[in-house]
Amino acid sequence: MIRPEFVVLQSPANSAEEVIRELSELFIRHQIVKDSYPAAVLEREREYPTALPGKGFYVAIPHTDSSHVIESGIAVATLQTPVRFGLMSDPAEQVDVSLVFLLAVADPREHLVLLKHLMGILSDTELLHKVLGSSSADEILDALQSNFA
Amino acid sequence: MRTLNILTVCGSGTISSTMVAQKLKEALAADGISITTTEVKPTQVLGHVEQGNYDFVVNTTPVPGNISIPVINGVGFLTGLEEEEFLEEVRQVISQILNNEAN
Repeated sequence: MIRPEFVVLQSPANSAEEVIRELSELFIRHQIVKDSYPAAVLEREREYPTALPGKGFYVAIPHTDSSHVIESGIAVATLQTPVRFGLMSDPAEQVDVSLVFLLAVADPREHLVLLKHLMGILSDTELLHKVLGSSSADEILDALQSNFA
Repeated sequence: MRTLNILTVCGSGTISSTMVAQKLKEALAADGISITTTEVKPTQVLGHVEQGNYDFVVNTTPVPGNISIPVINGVGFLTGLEEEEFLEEVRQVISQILNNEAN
């Protein structure tokens, strides 16, 4: 589900919208989501934002319902500077997010284990630093997959 | 002990709510407690609670309206950062529900 072509290192994005559009473009290019996907994710993000607190940092997991998804995939972006996302638990509160996982999930039940492992990064500071400090897509995939093993 | 009926809530009514539901099923099964779960969006909670037979709600995003059953914040459980605190709260709510029924 996470492929090297879905990894963006040190994105220059200045906002949640920019990083969501940048990652959505990768999904569209590889035809795993419909053209309606980015707008649906952005709309959802406005109403129900997706930043989650980790240990000393925030991660965002923007996504939308499966009607916009053709095939499941996860895109990852590290950022040159953190961007503001609303908190899932308190949408009025904006936080600085350092890592973004854009999710395209065709059937959540099918991918529960993977999603659960993705959540594991929130409580694993060492793993997060490894991911944030990665200098190639393969390095990020290795770090994440070591967590999935 | 009877099976408990739980609503899990997230913005899309799918991903986070399904993760929370699955984790909760596993965690409570270890305590010998069986649950059934329904995953919904925040705006569907009030209607479900009024019309269905639910014991409590676990949410990852705020739920609008006046909900007549316990609502437990599940973000710390989803992220794994406050898993034990969350499960403790769930166990308390469950024992309260079952105690009320026994009396």
